[in-house]
Amino acid sequence: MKIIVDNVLQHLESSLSAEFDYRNVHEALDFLFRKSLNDSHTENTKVALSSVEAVLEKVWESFHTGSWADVPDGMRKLYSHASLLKTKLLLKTANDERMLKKTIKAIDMGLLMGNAFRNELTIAASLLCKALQQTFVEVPVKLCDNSKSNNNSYAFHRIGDHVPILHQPSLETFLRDYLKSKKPIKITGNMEHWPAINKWKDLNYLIKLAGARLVPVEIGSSYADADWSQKLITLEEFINIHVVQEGEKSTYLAQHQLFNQIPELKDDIRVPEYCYLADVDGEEPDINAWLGPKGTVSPTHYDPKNNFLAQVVGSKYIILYDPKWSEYLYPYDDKFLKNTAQVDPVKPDFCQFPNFSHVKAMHCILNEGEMLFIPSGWWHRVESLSVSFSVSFWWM
Amino acid sequence: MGMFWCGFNGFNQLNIESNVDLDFHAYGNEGNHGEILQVAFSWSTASILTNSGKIVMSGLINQKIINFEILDDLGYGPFKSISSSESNILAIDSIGNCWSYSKCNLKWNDITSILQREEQVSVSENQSQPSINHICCSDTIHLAATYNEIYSIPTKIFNSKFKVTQVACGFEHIVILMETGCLYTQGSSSRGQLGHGELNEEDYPRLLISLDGIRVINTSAGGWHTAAITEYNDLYMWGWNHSGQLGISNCPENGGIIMAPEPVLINWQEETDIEQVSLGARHSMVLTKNNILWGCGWNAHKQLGIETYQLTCDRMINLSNLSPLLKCNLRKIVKVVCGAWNSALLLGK
Repeated sequence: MKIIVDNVLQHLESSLSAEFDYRNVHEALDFLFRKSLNDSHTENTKVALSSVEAVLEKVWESFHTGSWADVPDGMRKLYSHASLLKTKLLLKTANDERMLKKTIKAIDMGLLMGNAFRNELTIAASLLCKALQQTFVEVPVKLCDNSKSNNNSYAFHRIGDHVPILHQPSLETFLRDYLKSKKPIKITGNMEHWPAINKWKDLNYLIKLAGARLVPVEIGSSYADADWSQKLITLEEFINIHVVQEGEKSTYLAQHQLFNQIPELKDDIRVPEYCYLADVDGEEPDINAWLGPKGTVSPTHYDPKNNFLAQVVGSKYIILYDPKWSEYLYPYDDKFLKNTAQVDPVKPDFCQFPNFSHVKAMHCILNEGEMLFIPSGWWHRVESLSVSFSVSFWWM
Repeated sequence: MGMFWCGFNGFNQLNIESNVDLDFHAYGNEGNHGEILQVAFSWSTASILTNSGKIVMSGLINQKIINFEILDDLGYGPFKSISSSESNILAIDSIGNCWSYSKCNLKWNDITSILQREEQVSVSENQSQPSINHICCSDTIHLAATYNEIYSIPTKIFNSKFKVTQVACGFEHIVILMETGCLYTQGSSSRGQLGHGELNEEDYPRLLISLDGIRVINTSAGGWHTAAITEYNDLYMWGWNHSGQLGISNCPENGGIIMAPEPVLINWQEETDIEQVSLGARHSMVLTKNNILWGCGWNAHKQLGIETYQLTCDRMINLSNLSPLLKCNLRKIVKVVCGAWNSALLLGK
């Protein structure tokens, strides 16, 4: 453990000694950050730490003032920079397991809210997770037993057709019959070479690899509800408290770029080759992770990009609507929710939304190892039927 | 008047000898500068207005740490009221003119003359300047109020036939209390801080309907939260509860809430009459009629004046009981002032 910590400290030093100037971002923040950096070179670690924490907290306040899009780049850079310094100071004070976990949290805050030093922070977090693995104690197997929970008790919405299924279609077939004509298709047999299919069933694998990493989760059944909120918790806490046991309120690690944050996990997945039929050459798809217990719901909405939803663990029930039905799905007026439908297809209120009765749906159950192509603009509602881990690929 | 104060000390704004954040302790410079009339905090400074109308400052000014220095007012003073932000200090002089002191270029500016009054269109030669009664600023909002008009400097945002009794502002919102007891809010409601039950932005001051009909006697704006005390000495809070600053549970797993988009009545176990409220960036303090001090919210920098095990406190705690200094204090707390990451109590004789 000591060796890894020293390795990380060394690795941080070169970035921390680089020149900087944050005076045009915020004079007092620049002053306090400089003071903290100076104190960090002396034995004044405690004072340096409290200063850098104050810098991070004040920048955090500015992140939450006005819209996120208007936050100056310099402010986010300062946040990343200060996170690096906090990492160093925490590692200098102690290096027991508790401190390592605290340090990883500080690094992840820098990765999630900042915009610079991404490589440095990512490598530091990976190394520290490796150090933690050395002391990792195997707990009773936390395999996902999804066999019972599948497909029973769910009252399916029987209107409409099943999404067609193809086994390993060729690129030509996919391009001609589905991508060009914008039709959804379920593809089987295309994820057998993903290491994730076997590895991720064992939730201990995820905890061991990255349990101390901080991830954003959504609390509440649907993001369109009033009591919906988000928070940051460790992957271990999330899996143990919210995935394995089902908490009172549905908690969902949704639409998070987990594979940028934790590159080790990216080795377990493969980008479907169909994504490279994209109009824009050479552009990598946006890859998001969706991990949660049974019963998570993404309310009916559409995305501006094409989507491959790949089911790695568990199964999901998906209802789809052609964009031509948009008007009859009653999208919200709100500027943030205008891609979200007010009607809930599972229990539609026909008094409030009478035209919904004309709408024709498509639906399918997506099981382990299957991928669903959702063309851009197609409305979809996604509900997990068991503990579920899916990966989505957005591409144009 | 004596003073106890506490909280963030990263710029030595409370104490030059120590870098650490402070729990409640007595301010010791009264002898040098005279009685304290007002105190105002920004993130990096503390400013004190003395009864002789001078401003005493500590903390970071123009990239330098200063230690309780009297600000050279170039004869624009004596002042009767001040408010402070990261960039400047607003001050009202004895005849109702408003001045702004820039912490960057150390210059004074006359604000009164730049206020955009609609009447300027009419060609009256000897137009009198408005007399400013109230000022309030945060890092992002600067307010000045005359008898019945409010300016978000320099633009007029509100005009009433009634008297304005108080103005307050957070990082993104403005709160106006009228003599009639009506409360108006304007700005961003990203975290429910406007109290209208929606998260929509309001471009103009909007009457807070849910408290209409109940006379509000005191209000305060924190970073993203708001408080009001009614004529029945009840306390209402709304806005962001991220750090427990509303004094109610913020843990969704236990039925708590992260934000309240409408005023919530805060309950005490025993009958409690609330007299004053003051909010900092992410913490809150209230004073009861019996002169008991309560507080809640973020306490990582001891902004509640005591040391707590948790860095946030999502229920009102009795600070008069928990603070050793307050417990043996015999003087009356006359005024509670929270700002940024600090708090102060002005004490009677």
